[in-house]
Amino acid sequence: MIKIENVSKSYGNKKVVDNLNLTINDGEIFGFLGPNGAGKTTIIKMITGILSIDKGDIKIDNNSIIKNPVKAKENIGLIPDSPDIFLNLKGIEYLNFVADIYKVGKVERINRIKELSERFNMIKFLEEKIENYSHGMRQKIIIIGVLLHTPKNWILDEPITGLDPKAIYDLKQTMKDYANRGNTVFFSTHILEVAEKLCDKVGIINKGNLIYVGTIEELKQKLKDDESLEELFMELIEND
Amino acid sequence: MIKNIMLLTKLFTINYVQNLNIIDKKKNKINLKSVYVWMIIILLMAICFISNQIIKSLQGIGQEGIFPNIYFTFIFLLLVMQSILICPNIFYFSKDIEMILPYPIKPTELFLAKFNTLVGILYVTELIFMIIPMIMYGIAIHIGIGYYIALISAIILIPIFICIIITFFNILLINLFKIIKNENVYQLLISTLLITIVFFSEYQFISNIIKNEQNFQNTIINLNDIAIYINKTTIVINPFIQILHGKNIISNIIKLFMIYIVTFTSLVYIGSKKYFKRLLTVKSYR
Repeated sequence: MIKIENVSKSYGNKKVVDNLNLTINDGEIFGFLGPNGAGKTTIIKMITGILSIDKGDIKIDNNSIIKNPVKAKENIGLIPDSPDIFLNLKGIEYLNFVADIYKVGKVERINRIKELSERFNMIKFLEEKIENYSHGMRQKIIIIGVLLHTPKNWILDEPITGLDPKAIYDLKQTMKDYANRGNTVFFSTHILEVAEKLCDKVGIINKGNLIYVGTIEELKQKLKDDESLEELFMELIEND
Repeated sequence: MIKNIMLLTKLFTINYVQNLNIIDKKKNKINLKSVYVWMIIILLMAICFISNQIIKSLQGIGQEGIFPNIYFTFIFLLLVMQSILICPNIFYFSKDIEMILPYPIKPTELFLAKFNTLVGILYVTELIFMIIPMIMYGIAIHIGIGYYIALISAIILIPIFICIIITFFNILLINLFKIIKNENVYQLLISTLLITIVFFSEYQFISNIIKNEQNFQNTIINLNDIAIYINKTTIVINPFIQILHGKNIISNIIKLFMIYIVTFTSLVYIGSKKYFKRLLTVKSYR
């Protein structure tokens, strides 16, 4: 469970997140929508401890990211918006690094790496350096790394970008399976169709303020029933 | 904790070295197309030649004993300048920090891994600049095995001391001056300061040479006086030089041990209290 309590954040004099409150329950797929610069990545970076929080707190399974960051981070797996990380390592070196940090046992790690690499068609490329991977392959190796220690809370920042159709399908299936096993899946996206088909709940953020939280059906009822999510989204953003 | 520190140190060092492009990633051999590789080769040759000339000249006037004084000072100042320039990048502005922050790593583990990376980089500089001249000196004046043992200890320990001091001041500076929010401001301030220091030191040095009418012996004595003054101020250099010369070995080892324990413990304390919080704030401005 992820609980965001009265969180505010400024870059210099510019307020990018204003007194945000949000709870994402276990077993839920939560889609975080908003235009560019709305504050989505900033919030994800605060949830995962990459950025400091000016005001308020974020709790991951009741562990505060401010007061108890190590415990909180043990329950998080992050797919960042840019997969251009750990480029100097081979795929297998990166996976072993992650397994070492999360103390995944030897037998378990071998099995998990094999299972996940096969699922994402990466088994042939594990001995290659990540910098030689394509954008989509980099995205996949990070997904495998994150799922290696089966975190209770899976956070994805624009995960679909750069993936081929099969990988998008596999990722969506994995997200569904993951949430069905009682885990939390929190992801930001620009692609409204994905949110519509995948999410139990969505949150729409604009200029650092959460302007809507609920199901897609509730959103449709709130506005005009016959509109597409795209039209509803535009209406909300323009009215804000 | 130690395992995590080692894992992170390895990762940060691989990143730093591979970004220099010294190793050919495909063939896993030294990359002879890299400018850095050729710079190192030329530097090594120049250092060998100049050191040989200086040692011979000093032997000519019976003053070879002052070579370690002068050379240790040179290396010390070189390492200090290098660490001042790279320390903020390694601790606060390096890109690899952001990819590590989401992992459950204790602030002290991250801090010590970064510290190890800084020490590792200084070791490379030391390998290039220090080992050959000091071995040449040892061979020229026929010193025993004790000299080489002391030399290895000095090579291992001097960068650690420099890193402790520079990291300490780096943390204090970044915490005190809120203006230092990004690497450009910091680099500008530090570069200006260092260029000013180097300019005035060179001015003083050249003035001394002109005053002494280009007399080699007087210049060397002047240089030695400056070196003795710097070495006294830097606490650890003199004990190492005395050990190299086989003087007061036990008392100097105890003195060095105490200095390292006190400074390192203070650094870890300050680092655990001040480093991580400020790091997250600095990241907000990137």
